[in-house]
Amino acid sequence: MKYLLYSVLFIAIMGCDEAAEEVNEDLLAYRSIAGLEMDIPANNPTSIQKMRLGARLFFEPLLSRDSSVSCGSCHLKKYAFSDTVAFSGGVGDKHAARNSPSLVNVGYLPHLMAEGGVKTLELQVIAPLENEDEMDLGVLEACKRLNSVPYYQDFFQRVWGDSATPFTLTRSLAAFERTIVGGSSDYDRFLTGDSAALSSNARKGMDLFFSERLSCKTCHDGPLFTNFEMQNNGLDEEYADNGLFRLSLDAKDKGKFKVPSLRNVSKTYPYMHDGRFRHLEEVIDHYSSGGQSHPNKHAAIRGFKISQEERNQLVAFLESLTDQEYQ
Amino acid sequence: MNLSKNIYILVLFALFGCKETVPPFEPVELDPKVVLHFSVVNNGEVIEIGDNFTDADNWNLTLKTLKFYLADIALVSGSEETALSEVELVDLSGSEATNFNRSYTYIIPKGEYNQLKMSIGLPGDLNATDPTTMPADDPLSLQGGMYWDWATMFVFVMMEAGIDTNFDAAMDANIAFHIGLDTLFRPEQSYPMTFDIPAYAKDTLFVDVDWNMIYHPMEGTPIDLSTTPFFHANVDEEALAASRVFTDNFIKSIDIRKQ
Repeated sequence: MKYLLYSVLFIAIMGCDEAAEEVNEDLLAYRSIAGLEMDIPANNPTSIQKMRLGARLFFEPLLSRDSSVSCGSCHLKKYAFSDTVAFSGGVGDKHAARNSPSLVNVGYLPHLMAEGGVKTLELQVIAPLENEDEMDLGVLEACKRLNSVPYYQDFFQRVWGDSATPFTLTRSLAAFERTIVGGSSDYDRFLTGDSAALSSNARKGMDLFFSERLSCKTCHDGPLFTNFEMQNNGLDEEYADNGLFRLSLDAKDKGKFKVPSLRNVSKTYPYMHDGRFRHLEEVIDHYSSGGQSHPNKHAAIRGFKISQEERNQLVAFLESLTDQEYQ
Repeated sequence: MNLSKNIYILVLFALFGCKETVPPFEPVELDPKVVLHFSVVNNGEVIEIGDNFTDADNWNLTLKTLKFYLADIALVSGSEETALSEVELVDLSGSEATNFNRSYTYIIPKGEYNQLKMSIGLPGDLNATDPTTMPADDPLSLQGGMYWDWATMFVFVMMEAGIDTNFDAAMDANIAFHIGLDTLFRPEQSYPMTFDIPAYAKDTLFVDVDWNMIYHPMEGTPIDLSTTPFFHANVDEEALAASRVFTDNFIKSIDIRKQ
C-alpha cells in the first residue's frame, strides 16, 4: 500500500519530462583527473542521456524495498558522495555493515567494495540493491518497479530502446557514477602552477605527507592518493570483519582492506571500513602510534613522532585535497 | 542447350552428392530422450520442498531450498561421452513453468551407458560470468538467485531448512548452507550406473541427494546441525572447513537410480 501510494505520488511529481532534465546537470560532465584514463566497458559506452537516467536512478528511493532509501541516501553529494555516520541507514531500522566510501573518482578504481571483489561499477551496482541491510530489493524487483512507472518506461525506451532490465539498470547507474570525478582541489591548482593555491601550513603538511618519516605515500600515492592495493593498517589484533580474507580465505589476507583515496578526505568522515574515527586527528593518532599488533600489518605502519604543529600542517594539507564542489 | 545444361547439373549432383563426410551426432526428435530428475531423500523417502521430516540424527526439519549448479554433464558409454549440458541450475522448487527446474530432458543416441559424469559447481570461467548480460532463462542469470554480488561469483549449492532445536515440534531456527568459491568446485565426478535406452524411448534417471549422507554420513565427517546452523563458505576458516566437508559429503550423497 505504501509502495502504491508512493508510486502515485511519484508519477504525479515526476511525470513531466522537464523535471527529469533538471537532474544534477553539474554532475554530467566528465573531467580528466591528472591524466588518468577511465576504463569504460565496451558494452556500456558513454552517453549524456544514459548518465541522466543513471543520475535519476541514483537518487530514486523506489529502488529500496520500502522506498525509504536511494543510493544517494548513503552517498551524499555534499560529503563527496559519502556519509557522515559510521554505518548508513538501510531499509527499516537496518544499517550497512561497513562505512559508505566516497564515490568521487570511483570510475578510476580497478576494484570495488572493501575487499576488492568487484571489478566493474556495473556489477557493483547489484550489491547494495540486493543487500538485505541496505536496499534489500534486488535487481529483478527493481526492474519490475521501474517498468511499472510510465516515466521510467519512457526514459528507458529513449535511452536504451528497451525496458529496465538487469543490464540497462546496472549500466545506467554505472554510467552516472563515472561522471563523479574530482580534480578541482587547491592541491590540483597548486600542481598546475598556482603556487598561492596552498597555504604555508598546507605546503608544510604536504612535505610531511610525502616524507619518509610518516610514509603516508607508501599506500596513499598517485593522482588519487591510493596505490589501489589491499592492506592491513593495524586497526585491530583480531578483526570482526576480516576484509579480503572473506574472498581469498588466505590467512595472510586477514584484516586487509582496499586502500582508500584521500581526495576529499576532510569531507568523507568517519574513517576506516567501520567508521571508527570521526576526525582526521584521530587517524593521525592511529598511524603515529603504530597501530595494533597484527601479523599482516603493513611494514609502513611503524609509528612516528609528530608535534601538534605538524599535525595541524598535515590536516591543512589533507583539507587542500577537497574539490571545489564539496568545499 | 537446355538438355546439356540439365546433364551438367546432374553430373554436378552425382559428383558432389557422394562427397559428404559422416557428420557428428546431431540429435533429432527420433532419438531417445533421457530425463534427469533430481530429488532429496531421507531414509529412502523423497522429501519435497515444504515437507517436514526427521533425519537419521533425530532432528525435526522442514526442507526449504535446494538449488545447485552442475557443469559438464555427460553420459558415458565405455570410452565415449555424450555431452548433455554445459551447465544447469537444479532447483527443487522449480517446475516446467519456471526457468530452472528439478527435471531436465536431453536427446541422446540410443545405446548402453554406464556412467553419469558431472562437475559440482561452476568452473572458473563460468563462475566469472556477468549475470546481467545473460538472458532470463540462462542458469547464470540473476533469475537463478545464486549470485554472490559482493564477490562477483555464484553460490554453488544452496540448501536451507527449518530446524526444531528444542524438540518441541516447532521449527524455531533455520539452517542455511550457501557454498561457493572456486576452491570448492569439484570437477568430473563419476556416478556409475547401468542405463540401456533404445531408439524412440524416453526414460528417466533419478538423481537423489541423500540428506543423511551430507550431514550424518556413516563414513566421513558429519556436520553437527546444533553447532553449525548457518554459514556461508567464506565467513572464516571454520566455515571454510565446514564448506569443504559439506561439498565432499554432497558429492558422495548423490545416487543414481532407474526407478
